[in-house]
Amino acid sequence: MTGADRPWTSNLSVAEFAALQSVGLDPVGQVLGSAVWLFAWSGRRACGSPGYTSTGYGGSRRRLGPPRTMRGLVDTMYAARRAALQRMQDDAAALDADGVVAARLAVRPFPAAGQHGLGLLAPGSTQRALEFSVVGTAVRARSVSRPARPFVCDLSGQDTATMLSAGWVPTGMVMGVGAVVAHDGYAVARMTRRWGATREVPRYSQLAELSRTQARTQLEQDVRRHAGQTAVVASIRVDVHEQQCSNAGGEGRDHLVETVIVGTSLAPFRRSDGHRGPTAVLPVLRLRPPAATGQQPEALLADPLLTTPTREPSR
Amino acid sequence: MTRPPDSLVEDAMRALADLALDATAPVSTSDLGVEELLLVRAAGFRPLGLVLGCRVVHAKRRQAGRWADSRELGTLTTAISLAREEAMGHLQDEAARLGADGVVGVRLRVEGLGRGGWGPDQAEVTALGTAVVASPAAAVPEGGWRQPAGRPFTSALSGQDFWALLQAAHQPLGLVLGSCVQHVGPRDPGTVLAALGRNVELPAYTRLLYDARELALQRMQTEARGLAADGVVGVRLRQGGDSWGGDSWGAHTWEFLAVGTAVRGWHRTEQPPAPQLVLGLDDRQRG
Repeated sequence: MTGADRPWTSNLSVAEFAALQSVGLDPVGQVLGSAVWLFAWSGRRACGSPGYTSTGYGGSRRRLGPPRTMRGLVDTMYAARRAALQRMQDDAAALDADGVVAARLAVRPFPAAGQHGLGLLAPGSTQRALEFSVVGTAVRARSVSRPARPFVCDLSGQDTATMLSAGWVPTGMVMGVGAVVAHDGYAVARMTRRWGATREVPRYSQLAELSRTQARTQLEQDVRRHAGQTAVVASIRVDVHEQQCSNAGGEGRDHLVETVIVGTSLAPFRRSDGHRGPTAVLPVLRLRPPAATGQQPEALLADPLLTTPTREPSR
Repeated sequence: MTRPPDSLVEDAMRALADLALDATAPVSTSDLGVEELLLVRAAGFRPLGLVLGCRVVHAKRRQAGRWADSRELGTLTTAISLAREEAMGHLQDEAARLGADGVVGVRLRVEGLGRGGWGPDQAEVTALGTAVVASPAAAVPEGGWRQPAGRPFTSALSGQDFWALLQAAHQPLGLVLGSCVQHVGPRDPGTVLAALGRNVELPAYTRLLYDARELALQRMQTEARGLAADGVVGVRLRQGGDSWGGDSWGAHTWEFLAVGTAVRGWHRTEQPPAPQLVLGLDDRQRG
């Protein structure tokens, strides 16, 4: 927080700060948005298993339905993140800022709320609480025009500056969530036994693909909602959970695939100074030690003999 | 602290204030980073959308044959190669449906086998990339951008490398790979005795590494030849691979994988740019 007489705070590195200054954005303060949400979803009858029948587990020998979307979970996961972002945006608006850069969205379990599990949908747990928080730096533009609401982006200071000088303005943080569940059923249970023959498990493939496709579709809609034309994706996170099926009389397994894509939507604008933006160069020598570039020789990392000597094939 | 208004940020803020929602406007998604996105656009391509393909395979790691023998596990090689091929095929189909000329920044991953939720014996293959279309104004190579079979090209190169490759008058044709899943047997009693208390080379293992790598590389080359490529850039040879380890069997089952991007040269009138000396201000270590 900052006042007229107090220095501003920020989570920016010096290079980020310098980059933002170069495009006319001044930091006004570090802003935060937080939301703790309870997920009391039980998953009952969600997986589409035919349920327990008089023939026992064999009941699920019957034709299983296609993987199902967990609408409730998708909506809550989206709404919780959106709430945290909204609060950060309000915070920035209160500082009279024009935008928030370098926003970092984090999700943590919140065990103090009662029954909890680290895995979001760990079997056996009926409810859990998660903390969604986002931290960023509010910036004010050296401009006469002002957006109606401060924009939010998860780009670093350098990336924001690069995009602005290339004629793209961030319009907001966008998300896509996909959560799909399917009952394994008899056929899949047979196929995935340890001694089962090597082959594709089509039901799992379908599940994995569907979850990502859903998240992608929602991301696209979100970009459109933010009046953007393209998006830069910061992270794609996919979690696969196995859980005891609560529908087939406690027998069998369900698999749930959850995908969360987070990024920033961007809209093009015309530069009135006619400048074409940054130029691409082919650097022959980066004046920076190799360790600082974050690019280590891949072969060295992937070589188990060098990284984990215990895995030498001799005994 | 007040400063004079800046024309760049003025334009940006005015655009932001005037933003209008358009439910029908075409929207593109991509998993490219900021610099990648700009360079792909600078190379004359427009991103169309994120495309993907997934396959989950059950791997029976206990194979017929003597456990003590080192040999290739053919069924596993075939299964994992087929899964990769199908995942890539699905990605290309999605790209073709979007009307793309190619897919850049393809990441092909194998996860699972003991980690993740698919169970101990399942491996998940994921291919993810950004479909792009060449702008009509850009120069087109003689054979077009697509693969000889008419499918969109695929490239494992980053946006930066993609730009540099085009500048060097070459076009990407396809992500090519060769795999060899190898069972690495234990040492036989003879060698154990002979090497007791001595520091010696284990020639059988050395030879095995050579053979397996050679097989993987050859298979990759065969794929590249099928695309009528001049060469393969950015080859990464991975060995072992965490995805195959993790249990008592894993230490003896290794995958040797070669992945690269097949490229072909084309005639261009412009000269490739001379490399420049730059001072990078982006401190990647600290972000």
